[in-house]
Amino acid sequence: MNNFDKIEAYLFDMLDAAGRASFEQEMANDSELRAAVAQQQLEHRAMELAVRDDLRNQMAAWDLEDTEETTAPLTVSTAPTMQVSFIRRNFFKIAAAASVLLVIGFFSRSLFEPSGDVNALAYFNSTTRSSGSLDAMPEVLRPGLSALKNGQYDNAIAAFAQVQDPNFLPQATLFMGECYFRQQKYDAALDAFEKVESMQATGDQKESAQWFRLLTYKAAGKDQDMKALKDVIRENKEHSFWEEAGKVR
Amino acid sequence: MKIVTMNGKEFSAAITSGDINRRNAALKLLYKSPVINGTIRTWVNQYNIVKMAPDDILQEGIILLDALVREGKFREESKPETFLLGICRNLIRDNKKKVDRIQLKETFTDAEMDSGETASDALELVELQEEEESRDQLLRKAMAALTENCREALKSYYLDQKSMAQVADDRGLANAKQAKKAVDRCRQSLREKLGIAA
Repeated sequence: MNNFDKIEAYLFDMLDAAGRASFEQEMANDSELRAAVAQQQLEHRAMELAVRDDLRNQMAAWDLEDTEETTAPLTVSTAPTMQVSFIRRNFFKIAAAASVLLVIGFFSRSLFEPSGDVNALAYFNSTTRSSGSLDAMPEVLRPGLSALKNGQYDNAIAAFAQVQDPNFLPQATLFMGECYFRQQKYDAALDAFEKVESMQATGDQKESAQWFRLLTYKAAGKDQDMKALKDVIRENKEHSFWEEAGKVR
Repeated sequence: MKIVTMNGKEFSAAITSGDINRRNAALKLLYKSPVINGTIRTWVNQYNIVKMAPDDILQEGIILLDALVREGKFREESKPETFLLGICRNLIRDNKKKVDRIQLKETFTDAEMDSGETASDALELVELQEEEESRDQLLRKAMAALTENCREALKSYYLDQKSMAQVADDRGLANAKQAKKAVDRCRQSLREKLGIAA
């Protein structure tokens, strides 16, 4: 285990008592290690604050939901019930909360390590979320996804077109783009991906749309457009597909 | 009305599962509980609080409870709602404090965990010092300067890290490796924003 991992294990309290004691002894004798621990601790604090702020936003989002939902109290009790005030004080919290609801798990994306220049479809297959489990998908997307998985692309497109909920619209549109891509209707696919980039979507979804657009250009033989978009992606080192884009020729 | 109950063990498992939906569902049960909301409102009226509204107390209480469980300090024998009410009662009593953490007093007894009133005596608030507050502001700024993607990646990593090894085992190394690479890149960006890049 390298120092970084050791410190992470220490900070996440994953060491047993003996390991912890030995690590603390090591720290006591090593000022560089102490400094590294302090640095990683700071990073953890930054992440902790983000997690807390996220939860605050999430609670603001729950406030917006219908009070008649099926969620019930934890206990049976005769304690006084009350009317919770659902008027939130901070609009930005709500806006942020909406974005929380839109977030699609970063790690659920199928990640891969391509080598060299492979074809657009192979890249697509490796990076689309449609290969994931149906159960992991929001219910509203399941009919379309089920059809997509079965190769019934027209049915899938029709099902995704029914999605009106703005929380799921970007993902539904991404899947529609995928259906068109698989049907080799590249212009329609490009339209769908461009739509996601211009709609209210998460950064993750927009970057996915950009990446799929690049693959569509490649598949359609639109090399100029592909190269221009590749440059855009490569300019942003934090882009989710920065590394993959570098391998597309 | 369908009554949903969750014991301490189930609650703790949901919070530390690494599954954000499961965690949120558990916290939402508490947040939406009319019993908890009603009790907090009654206490706030008793103490004649002006600084914090009942909703704010509940939100802060849930944030502190969530952190406590993630730190592994929650007693699974306790009912989550009792624990939460204990935290909220402390927040009401010491409503002028800027609270960062909550911890169990060393002298606490199991009997104290029977009700929100008594649970509050078993818990103590750890205040946020002024310099820590300034530090937090800088950290928030640094996080805000990252791309949304990076923020999400780091939050997921922080919440899920204990299950990452499991994910790697379950799904094969490539995914975890790639995910780790993305997190490393974002973490490096965070260091740069904090001015501590190597």
